[in-house]
Amino acid sequence: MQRTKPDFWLILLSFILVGYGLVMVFSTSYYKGILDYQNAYYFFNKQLIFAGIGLVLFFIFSNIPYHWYRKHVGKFLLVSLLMLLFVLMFADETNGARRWIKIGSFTFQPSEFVKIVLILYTASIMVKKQEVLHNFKKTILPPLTVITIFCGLLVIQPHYSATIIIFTTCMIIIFCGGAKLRQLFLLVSAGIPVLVGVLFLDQYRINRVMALFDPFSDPQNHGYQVIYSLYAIGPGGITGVGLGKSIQKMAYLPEAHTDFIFSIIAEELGFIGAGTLIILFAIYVIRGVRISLRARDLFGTLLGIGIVSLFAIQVVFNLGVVTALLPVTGVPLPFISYGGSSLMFQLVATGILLNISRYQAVRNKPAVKADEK
Amino acid sequence: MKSLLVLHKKRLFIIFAIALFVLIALLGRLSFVQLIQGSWLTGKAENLWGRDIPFASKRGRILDRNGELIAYNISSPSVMVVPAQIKDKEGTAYKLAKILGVPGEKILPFVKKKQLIVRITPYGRKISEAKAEEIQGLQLPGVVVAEDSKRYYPYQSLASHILGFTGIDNQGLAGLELEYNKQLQGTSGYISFSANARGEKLPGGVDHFTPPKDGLDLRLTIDLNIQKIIERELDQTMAQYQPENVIAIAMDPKTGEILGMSSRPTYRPDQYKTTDPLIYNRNLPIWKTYEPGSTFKIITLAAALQEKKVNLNQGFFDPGFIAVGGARLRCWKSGGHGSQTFLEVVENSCNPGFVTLGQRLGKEKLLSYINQFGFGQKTGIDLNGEAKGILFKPSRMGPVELATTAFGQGVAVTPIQQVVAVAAAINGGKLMVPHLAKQWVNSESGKVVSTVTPTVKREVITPNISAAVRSALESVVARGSGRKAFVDGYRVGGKTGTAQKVGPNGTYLKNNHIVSFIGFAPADDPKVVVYLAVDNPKGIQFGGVVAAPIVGNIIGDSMRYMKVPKRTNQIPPEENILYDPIVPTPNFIGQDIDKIKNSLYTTPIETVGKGKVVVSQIPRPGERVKKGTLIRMYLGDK
Repeated sequence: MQRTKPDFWLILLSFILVGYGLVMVFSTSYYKGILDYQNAYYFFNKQLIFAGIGLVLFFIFSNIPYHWYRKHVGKFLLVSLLMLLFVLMFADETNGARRWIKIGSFTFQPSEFVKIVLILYTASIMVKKQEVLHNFKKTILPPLTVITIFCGLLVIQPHYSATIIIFTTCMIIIFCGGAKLRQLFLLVSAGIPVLVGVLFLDQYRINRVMALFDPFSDPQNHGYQVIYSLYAIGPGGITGVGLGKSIQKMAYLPEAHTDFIFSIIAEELGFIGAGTLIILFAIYVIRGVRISLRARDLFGTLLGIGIVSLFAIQVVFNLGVVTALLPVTGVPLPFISYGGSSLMFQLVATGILLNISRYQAVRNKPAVKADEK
Repeated sequence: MKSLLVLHKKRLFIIFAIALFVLIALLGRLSFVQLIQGSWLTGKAENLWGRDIPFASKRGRILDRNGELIAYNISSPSVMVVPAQIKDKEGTAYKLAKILGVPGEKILPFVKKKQLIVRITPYGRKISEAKAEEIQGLQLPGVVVAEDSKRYYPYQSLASHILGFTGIDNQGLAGLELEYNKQLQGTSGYISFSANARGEKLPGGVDHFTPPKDGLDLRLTIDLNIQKIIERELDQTMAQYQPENVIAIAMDPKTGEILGMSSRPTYRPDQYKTTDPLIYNRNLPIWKTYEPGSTFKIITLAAALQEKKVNLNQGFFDPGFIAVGGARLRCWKSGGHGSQTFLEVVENSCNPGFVTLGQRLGKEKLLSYINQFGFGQKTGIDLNGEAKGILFKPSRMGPVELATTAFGQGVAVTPIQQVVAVAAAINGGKLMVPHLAKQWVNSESGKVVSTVTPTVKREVITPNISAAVRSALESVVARGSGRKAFVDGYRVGGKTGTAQKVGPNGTYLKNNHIVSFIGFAPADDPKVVVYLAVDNPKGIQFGGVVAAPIVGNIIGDSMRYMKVPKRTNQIPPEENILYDPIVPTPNFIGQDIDKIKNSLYTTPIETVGKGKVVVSQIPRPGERVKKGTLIRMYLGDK
């Protein structure tokens, strides 16, 4: 296939977001670094290393033709399945969940890998099913079974936020792949009760949901993270209190450098800084959708929209939580939050998206017509 | 294939539109939180960041007029926890709970509280030294035993209604502790600074120190010794007569300074939690409202003298009743006092005589004087919970009401009103504002910060009329119905009073009286006025027998304590104290026992049998016996 120039805006955007994230990780974590490790740069240094590795991966993956993955989807699936089983069987429990594989001092979340693999798989299988779209059994049932198995393994960990993110992303790919609306609707209406059931299985998740509706009613327990998040966002005002000058990060707001990093951004940089970040995210979505639309084939389109959806869903989840619109779940903010696996896989995914942008459909109309023939 | 391609693009656009919409919604949410809720959240956040380390001020002490301490602070330890420093919250809570003697679940919330310093109220406040040492011995991280202070009342229930009490945070809750809480409490100081969640000071935060201002010492007008005399007499009265309650007030008539005031039932300020709130909430001397009875005649007398409506040497004939507006108002003595001077009318407390005085004054004048003497309005004493009393409305006051008001029925007043009014009648005519606070003293330097000066509300009668009232009342004690209050050499003046109590339905209660006496001494230069009321004394007694001797005791002991020189020019008592005169026995046969209790004889009586009417008596009527001989009455129902 003819390779063209990669999407310049996506590269620029990725660099800006990584830079933005590094600055804010330092700002939000130096205090915790001093308190816990007597080193203000503790978190920043680690994040810097991951960003470096991530950027290398970004360029490597942007040079791997995306069709290559299609051939190996089965192997990827197998590897991720083994990883999940390994985690369930051998990993130590941390905070009541088994999500991490430890290799030396390096920890790795298989769920990040699974996210991309399942996008690849769903995109690939939906391309195959284009001829039998009207047949529910043939089109939707097989990928659904695979997705459900993986989601089930994630629920056992438990890692509900990843489950919901993966499931939703795959559903979007199936939707964009042209599945019949009636079938999708049936599927969704069957899925919602299951979701609600899982959500309310544990008292702690009910409490989180209740705390969402009125965080101030229970300020000591479940509401307090959300309240403290609002206490950070609110005082930010239009211009913020200034970079590095957040008070809420002074051990008030837990996870200030990870899941709640956006609250501190809003506090330090104000509406201007935080709003800009949302706009940057929006630009990523716009570029991503544009690349997907212009992809040379359906696999590229579905893979692209899957990557964009994964990104957008995580952004929405994270921002929803910190602005008290969604119950507290631990979803990191893509590119920004502290966390190696998350940042690296975000860059890998963006690398794949960038690669898709190198195989754009020919723009002029005659070519399209020719293609249709 | 074309349709499929279009389908894919369409669906991509749908997803794209939804994603953009959600992102815009989040932007909107962000602007709402930051720009609209911003200042509200900032305020709340600043509260969270701000830290005040309090420096409690010392509560001022309360002293009597001579500087004796009657309420002060003693140190008593309190437990505080710093939750951030406690790793093992459950363990700490249960260990504390064990020593404090409460279930662990009660302590756990304090330990878990997200707050810098948490006081364990009330379980860990003001605990014993032993418990404090035990807790300190555990060496639990994050548990601090801090110095705290507790209000201490060394004389227990003495003057408890005046002093009141304080709550767990040493805040005044009743009595003077409440009335003067602000001055006593002072203002607590604090260091305030912005802190991180671990309570450490933030580099950029504003901090400032506000030093505490200790409360001022309050010096009272109360004299500890006179108060003790009163408390002693009240206890004796309770033991002897088992009344529902007893009230006593001693006041300096010239200044309105309360020298002593108490009532029964009483309570201990340090045990208010286990006391019926009705007991400490009702400060009877200023709250209880009832018919004064004959003590009110002093007001009628003073008014009549001031208006020159009577000459005490003038003659008056009492047939035993007086007809007013078609009604026959009886004198307390059946058969009447016969021919007497108006001075004897006062001495004998003769009702028809006082009705005559009331009629001579007329409705307007009598009511005006009652108002002038402060009835129907608060006296303004510096205590909470004072009542106003109830007077007839002028429009509803007919001749009968005028007549009964003249001898103290049909009006309802408080004890403090009577004391202040009588003080005005005998101190030269000035209606004073009664008060308890005398001085505010800086507890450190001992310097007087401010002094309460006696306040004259108004002048009601002239000094020479006041002198005439004094001498008439001295004569009541020396020769008349107040005989039992006589203290040799101190020229006691006074007046008995007995009133039937009014029940909840507005009618008079049977067999239920308030007997009272108001006395003062010495009559030439009054130093003290003492009022005492006994509510429903058990056993059947003449009113004058119960209250007058108690007031005599209080006045006698107070005069000796105050080192008031004995007078030689007193009105000689009617009879020689050493030899009781021989008098004819009054006739009680056929009289209602209820009425007998209302009368003002000074003879002791004893009753035999049950019933309402006297069927027989020993000694027989008219038999000449020594004055003060016990009369035994046989009761029946006829």
